[in-house]
Amino acid sequence: MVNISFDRNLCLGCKTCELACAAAHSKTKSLVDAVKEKKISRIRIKKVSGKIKIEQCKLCKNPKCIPSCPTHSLTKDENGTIKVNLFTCTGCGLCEEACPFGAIVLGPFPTLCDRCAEADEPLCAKSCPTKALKVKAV
Amino acid sequence: MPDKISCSGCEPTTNFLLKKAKDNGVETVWDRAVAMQPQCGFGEMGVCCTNCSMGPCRIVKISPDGPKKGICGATEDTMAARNLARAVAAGSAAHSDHGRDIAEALHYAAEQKKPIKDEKKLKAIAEEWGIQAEGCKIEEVASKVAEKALDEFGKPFGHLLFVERAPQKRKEKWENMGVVPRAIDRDIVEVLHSTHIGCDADYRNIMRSAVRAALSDGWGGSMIGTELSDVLFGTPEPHEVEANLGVLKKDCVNIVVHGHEPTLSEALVVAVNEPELMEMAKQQGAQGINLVGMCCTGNEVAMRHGIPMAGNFFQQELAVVTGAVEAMVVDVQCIMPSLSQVARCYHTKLITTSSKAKIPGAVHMEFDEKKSLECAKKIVIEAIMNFKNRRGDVFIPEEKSRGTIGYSVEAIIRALDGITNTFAHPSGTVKPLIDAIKSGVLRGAAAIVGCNNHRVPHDKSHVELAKELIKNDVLVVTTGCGAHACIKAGLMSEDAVKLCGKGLATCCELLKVPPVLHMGSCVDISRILQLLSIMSKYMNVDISDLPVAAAAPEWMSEKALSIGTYAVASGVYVVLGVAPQITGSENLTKYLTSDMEDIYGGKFDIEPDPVQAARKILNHIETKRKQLDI
Repeated sequence: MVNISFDRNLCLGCKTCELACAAAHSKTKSLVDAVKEKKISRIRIKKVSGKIKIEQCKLCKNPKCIPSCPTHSLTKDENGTIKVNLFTCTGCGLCEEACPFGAIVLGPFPTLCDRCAEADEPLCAKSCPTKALKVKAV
Repeated sequence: MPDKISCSGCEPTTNFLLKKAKDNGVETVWDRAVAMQPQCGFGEMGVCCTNCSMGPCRIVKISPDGPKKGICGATEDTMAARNLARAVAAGSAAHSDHGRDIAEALHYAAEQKKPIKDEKKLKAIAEEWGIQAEGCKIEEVASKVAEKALDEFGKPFGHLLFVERAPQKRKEKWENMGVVPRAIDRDIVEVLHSTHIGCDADYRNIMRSAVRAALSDGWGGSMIGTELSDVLFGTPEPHEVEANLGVLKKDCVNIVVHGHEPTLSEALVVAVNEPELMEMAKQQGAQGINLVGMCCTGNEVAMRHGIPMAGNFFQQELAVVTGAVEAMVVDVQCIMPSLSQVARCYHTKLITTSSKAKIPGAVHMEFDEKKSLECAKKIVIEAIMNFKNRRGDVFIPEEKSRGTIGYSVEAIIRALDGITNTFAHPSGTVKPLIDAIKSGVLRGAAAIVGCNNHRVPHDKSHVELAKELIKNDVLVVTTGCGAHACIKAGLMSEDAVKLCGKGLATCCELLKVPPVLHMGSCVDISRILQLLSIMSKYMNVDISDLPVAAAAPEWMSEKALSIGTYAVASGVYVVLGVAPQITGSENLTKYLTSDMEDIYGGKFDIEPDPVQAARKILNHIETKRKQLDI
């Protein structure tokens, strides 16, 4: 299981991770196509009450999103990430509501961090210029 | 930084309108500022460089890993200095291009034999510049002065003519540092050249170029803008004016003129008083035409004609939100592109008039200086014909304040003349002011200038700083959006004397002036330079010896950076309420906040809290007083 740690003291809010995530999930792995394909980033850097905050799937032990799904479209993969069955998902958004970390965004189906399963390592951490995001294999 | 939409500075007007905006589904600057959080730390620190396509490069300061140099090898010092210098150059360009437009307007006015409002000033400038005026027709003098002013932008040799206005010691300092401004365009171009990839890498030398470009603004473009505007449209004299969004009138065709250059606004002032247009407004069901000003163009027409001051930078969208504005007529600088979207939610027509500033969604009606009145009339007709389209949802706040404005250097000296002894003292000097400062009745003077910025509460910093200073017997002069903030807060009214310390209150009562003097628009900060210069020459000291300071508590624009830089290089202590994007370079930060004092006698300081900023200014003034032994 790949865990990503976030050090808010190192984060400068440049959002390079968001761009890298969208690019990593585009067809040609490029930013230009990510924009064209309307890819949604699976990580978001926000500022709440003056503090920097990250929104990204934390690979919970007992995820609240899975039982919230009325069509049982969410499942946990062997590497711990949440998979969405696009054929059964109705895009109702209950999982989005259930997640206490704001990690799920509908676009139109739930998008969740897959830890860049197809790449060698998560691109958000790789792209982070200040190393506020770091990969921790568990 | 705002977490929610609020404006504690100018309640309740703004907050009412913000609520209306929200109800109408209109997004404002405050909403966008919240949506923009967090803002990129690299940009904030000035260590992101996009000057070539090997980049963007960023210097990672915050963790041990990550690049410490750009791909070309530029250090954080080089990057931050280059970014700052380019911003200063852009600011200088904006002010100076404004100055050029005024010089051109004077040229056309001479050509068309239009009236010159201040012939005395024109002749004085002609004499200063070595132009033979005696025996010449006034148009000939105007034409020669205009031509000489236009030469200042690109002359191949020598230095700017207005540099001679600076005290001798100041000029020597500039000569020693090699920063005497030569030709305005050239000094700006040199910054762009030296900050190109692979050119200047020494942050101190980059700042030297930036200082020269900035001085080209203050003692060049801006000063030309101010002086020739006075010549062409009249030198401001004290008079009363109303301010805040309450100046809009429900039953009238409301035209808001917004931007910077007085050429457009002056023509509009004439056009709205044309009987045929007033009649046309009545035929359309309106009581009349109500012209009001916004931002610096608002200052220009308020200073010269008493046109009401509708509001400052952060109020431009709110003016449209009232639903009572038939046309917002804009030219250049500080016009939010969002205006066209806001205008679309109401009946308001956004009319752009400059080929330098078009906005998608706006009606473009180009203003031609050669046919100024004709253009202005067309614009006014467009507004009148839009009156019938007004929708029901109109809300004009009741709040408005009054104040006395119009303090050009000439007007200040005239006020001072009022208390000189006819037999013992010559008139037309700053002697009474210097005497008051020397005796300690007045501790000193401070300029509060600059914009609005979401990083500090709207208008609050301007007003609190001004109040704190006048309470401590420091005379305040102000321009730009700071002036709007001060008049709205009542600091230019007679009552403001009650907020002053004893010494300043006595001075104000004797001189019959408010404790906060409105000196004009942002190019008119050249008036403040001029006043400082006269004061230091009178005392036979340098500007940096005077017990004076400046503050830009809510600054945001590149022009403000240029102003700050020329003020510091002219020897003034400048307190910024918002940190410039340089903090990624400790060396550059130290250069601006400390080293510059050793070189130029002025320096930058950063202090977001207005009360603390006042404390710093007061300390600085007392230090200078001690050094002068007064």
